Amino acid sequence: MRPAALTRKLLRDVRQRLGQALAIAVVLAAGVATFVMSLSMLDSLGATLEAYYARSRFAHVFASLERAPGAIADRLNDIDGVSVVQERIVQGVLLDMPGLETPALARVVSLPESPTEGLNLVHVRQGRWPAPAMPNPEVLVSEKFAHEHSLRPGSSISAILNGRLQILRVSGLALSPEYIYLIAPGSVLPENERFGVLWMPHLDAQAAFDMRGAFNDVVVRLAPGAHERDVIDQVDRVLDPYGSLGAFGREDQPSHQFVDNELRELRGMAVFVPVIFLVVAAFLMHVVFGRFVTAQRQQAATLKALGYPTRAVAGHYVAFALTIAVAGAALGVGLGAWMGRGMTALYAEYFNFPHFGYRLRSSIAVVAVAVGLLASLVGVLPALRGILRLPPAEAMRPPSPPTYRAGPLTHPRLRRLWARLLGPGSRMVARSMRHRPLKTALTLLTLALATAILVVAHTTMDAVDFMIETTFHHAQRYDLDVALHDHADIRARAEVAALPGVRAVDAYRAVPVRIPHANERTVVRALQSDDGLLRMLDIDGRPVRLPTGPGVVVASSLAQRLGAVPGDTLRVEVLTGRRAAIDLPIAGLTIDASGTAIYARLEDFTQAIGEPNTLGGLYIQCEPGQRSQVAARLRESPGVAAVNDKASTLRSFQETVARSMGIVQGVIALLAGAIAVGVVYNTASVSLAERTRDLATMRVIGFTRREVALVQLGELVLLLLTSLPMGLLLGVGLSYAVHRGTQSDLFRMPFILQSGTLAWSALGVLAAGLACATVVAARMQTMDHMDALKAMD
Amino acid sequence: MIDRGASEPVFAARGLTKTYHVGDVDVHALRDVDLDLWPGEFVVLLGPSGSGKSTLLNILGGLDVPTSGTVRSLGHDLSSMTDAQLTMFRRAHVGFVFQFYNLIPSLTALENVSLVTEISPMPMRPEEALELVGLADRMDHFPAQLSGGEQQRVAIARAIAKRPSILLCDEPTGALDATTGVVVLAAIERVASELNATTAIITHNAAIAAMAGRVLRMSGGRLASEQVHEHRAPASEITW
Ligand SMILES: Nc1ncnc2c1ncn2[C@@H]1O[C@H](COP(=O)(O)OP(=O)(O)O)[C@@H](O)[C@H]1O
Ligand SMILES: [Mg+2]
Repeated sequence: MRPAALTRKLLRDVRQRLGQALAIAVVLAAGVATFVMSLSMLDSLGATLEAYYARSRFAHVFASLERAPGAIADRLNDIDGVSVVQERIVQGVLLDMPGLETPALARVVSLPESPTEGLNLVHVRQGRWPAPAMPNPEVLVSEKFAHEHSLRPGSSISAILNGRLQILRVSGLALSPEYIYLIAPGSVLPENERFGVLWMPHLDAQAAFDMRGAFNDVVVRLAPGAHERDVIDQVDRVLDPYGSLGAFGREDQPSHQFVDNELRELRGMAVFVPVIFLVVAAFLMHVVFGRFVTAQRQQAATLKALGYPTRAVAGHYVAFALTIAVAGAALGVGLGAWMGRGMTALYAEYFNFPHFGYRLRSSIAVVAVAVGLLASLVGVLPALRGILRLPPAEAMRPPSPPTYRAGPLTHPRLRRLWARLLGPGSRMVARSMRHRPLKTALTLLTLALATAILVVAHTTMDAVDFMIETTFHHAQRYDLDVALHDHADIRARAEVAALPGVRAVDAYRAVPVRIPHANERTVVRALQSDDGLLRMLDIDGRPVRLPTGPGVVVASSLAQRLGAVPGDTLRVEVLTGRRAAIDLPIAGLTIDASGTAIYARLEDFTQAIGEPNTLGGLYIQCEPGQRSQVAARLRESPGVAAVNDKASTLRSFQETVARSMGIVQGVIALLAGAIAVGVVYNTASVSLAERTRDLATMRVIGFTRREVALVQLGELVLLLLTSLPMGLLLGVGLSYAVHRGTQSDLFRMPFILQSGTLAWSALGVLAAGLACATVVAARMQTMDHMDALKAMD
Repeated sequence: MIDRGASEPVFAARGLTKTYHVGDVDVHALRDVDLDLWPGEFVVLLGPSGSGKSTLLNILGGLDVPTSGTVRSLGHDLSSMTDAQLTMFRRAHVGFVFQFYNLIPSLTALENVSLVTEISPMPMRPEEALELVGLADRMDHFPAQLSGGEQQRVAIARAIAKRPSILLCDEPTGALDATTGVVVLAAIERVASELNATTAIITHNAAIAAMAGRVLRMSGGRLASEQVHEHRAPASEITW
């Protein structure tokens, strides 16, 4: 039973507190919206990825090798648990792209005859399937690379295939589940401009790379229920004699790994951020509703005296809270679905999925609304206890003034002195804050949470900035990273050092290894100098040196994953050459963007693997303004496989990782701002409503408007200032939790806290406070204080 | 008009005591009060502030329960009823008028009255109740738009709209000036006689006692004296 008059009262109460009700609804909506947005986006992206993988028959196991006769593929087919085997030719080539100073790197992947054959089906987005056309083969070009270089069907590309310059004709642009991200070998970041994939008919690829009747790459799809680990072991056994680098599963497939990491980062956000928002909403509900109920004591008692059962009266107030909560939750679901669709579209484009579907499962919407309502009820219930216990006889009594106590100053003279210092307004504020310590604490906590959310939004961005700064400026002091063909002799270094424009050169070798006991694949980077153009840094940014003995320095995240500490010995299997198994004592730890590397001394390590005095690459620092000339010159040199410009790597980092995190951060910061305003506005208007009579009395006995306004604003400022340190501290704690929650294998970041972050977050909340104070002050100017007194007589 | 012999009393209170514990102190608000109120009777309760008038009225009206003693009313034993039963008793039988009106500020005069008519078994129309107190033309005003006297008359309309058999008023004119007070008292007198409701008015204003059929004086938590008037003065003749 819901009497019409009560319903009307409910609606009018809500309308009268529309500002506050809206502020709560917005905060709740922000919480529900992030919840819906993140979960539906994750769900949609996951489903899209799954569907994409399934539709394009994405392989489960991958292996590359030097060369194996075609018949070996049949032996792979016989392995238990293998459903489809596709042998391919995959070969790195250099492309001479107009507009690029150094050749771009590309990977040629051989194609079956028809688009529906085999695994990792290539999806033609524009143009057509290439036909065998030696000596000028047709190729499909990965779409992103094609866009970077304005390639269209019909364009031609000059490539160096097997040492011969050849013109390739572009038959179309394509996408592949294997190259959602285009990550060059040895790199951890996608570089759309400098690395592309060319799909070429199998016959042409065989001819171009002298691989007739042979293959050097194989992808395998498992039968349902097959054990990936077992299959990998068997594949390794078959391919080992043919120079295999070791088969691996999807989790080590660079593109999938990257996509997976991005999704994992999103998942961290999806859990933490809505929880924080909903907690704030619950607090807000509690504070505002508690004060509302207190203000309504007399009315509630009257309803009881008139014969409304306690349940109905309590229900009335719950309905008041729920009206706001339902409005907020509904708004949140709508907003969340809208943002979720937008974000999914954004990510689908960013991941380059050929198709994407956004879906909002009704279960997500229902859970989101339920969680939102639950958060509100949790906030509201404590205040309801007061209503339940309220004796109806209260209605017959005049409203009695609440009992206040004097402060800790008991000596009358001290108290008078204090009073002179503070003035009556400040005393009112101080007493009312002390009068209800719990309420004051809750208000402080809510304000602190608003600050904390801003800190969280900030620190994640800081981490990215810090990583860019340390990785690209402090650790990598080179301009160019040159990969050499084969294992060049150490003398190559001197030749390069003698080139004009080169200021410094350091040699290194990067050797792929496997850590058998943890089944990890990584790279040992053997450095000529441990304080040269590539430095290892510890978490405080201090250089870490290699020991003079045989020890290595390990990325701390890898060490953490392996459960290893300095002093332990790491056994690794080299995946190239003689495939030596060697023991590497861990001498120290370093932070590392890629989080997977092991650093060793060049001399010792090449010795240990039986290839003394060989190098694989050079780090080059150029004279100012000479970078492009040096790069161009190196490009022409026959021993050079690739020249990597650090500046372009940085750009690609900013376009991928930084951008995707930036989007999420931006959304969070926006919502955090909404919360900050919501919290401050509520605090201000609730306390104004509570003190209307007091302030009116002050006006009646002769205080000016200004003096009265100062009392009110003074409280707000005092609350804000007190809450700031708490908020900053809480923010740091929450940031750390978010940091832990979003750690991924590819990008490990140290926990970074910059003083600017704290300052900006504090300023953000203060700005919100100031804006709200202005609104409240304006409202006080229009308030008729005489009316406020009359209404009660 | 009042037939004490033939009918049951509306209220029969025996040995009522009420003790409040405030800190370490016991406040004896009522001490061993016996009282009968008869159908259609118009009683005025007089006494100094703090003498226990409100406490007595609250217990009779089912807003509060005695510490000891019994109250029988209309076949119920109020002293042994649960909170929910007391609520139902109030809803069906008792109309309250409070010193501070206690109107819901967000509801209009008419809606404040509807608040009661919507939950009562046999109410009059809210408009009718407002006409009875002479406020037919102010029905759509909010409390803040009404004078104190008008607000109190809305409260009276709200109290009687359910056609209560009992009308309890705690200092209904306490916050009003004399002229307005008389208007309010006249309204109470009129509705009480039209409904033939047993009516009790608390006041510390002795002048008002003239309109009562019986005057009870309280002091220190006890019924100190009782005075029966052969003739009741109409409210319009009262001045103070
Ligand atoms: N809720 C209460 N708690 C404590 N003491 C109360 C309460 N209500 C009334 N009293 C005390 O009981 C006594 C009688 O009060 P009350 O019935 O209100 O007197 P009256 O209405 O005659 O002025 C007073 O001393 C008053 O202080
Ligand atoms: Mg009283």
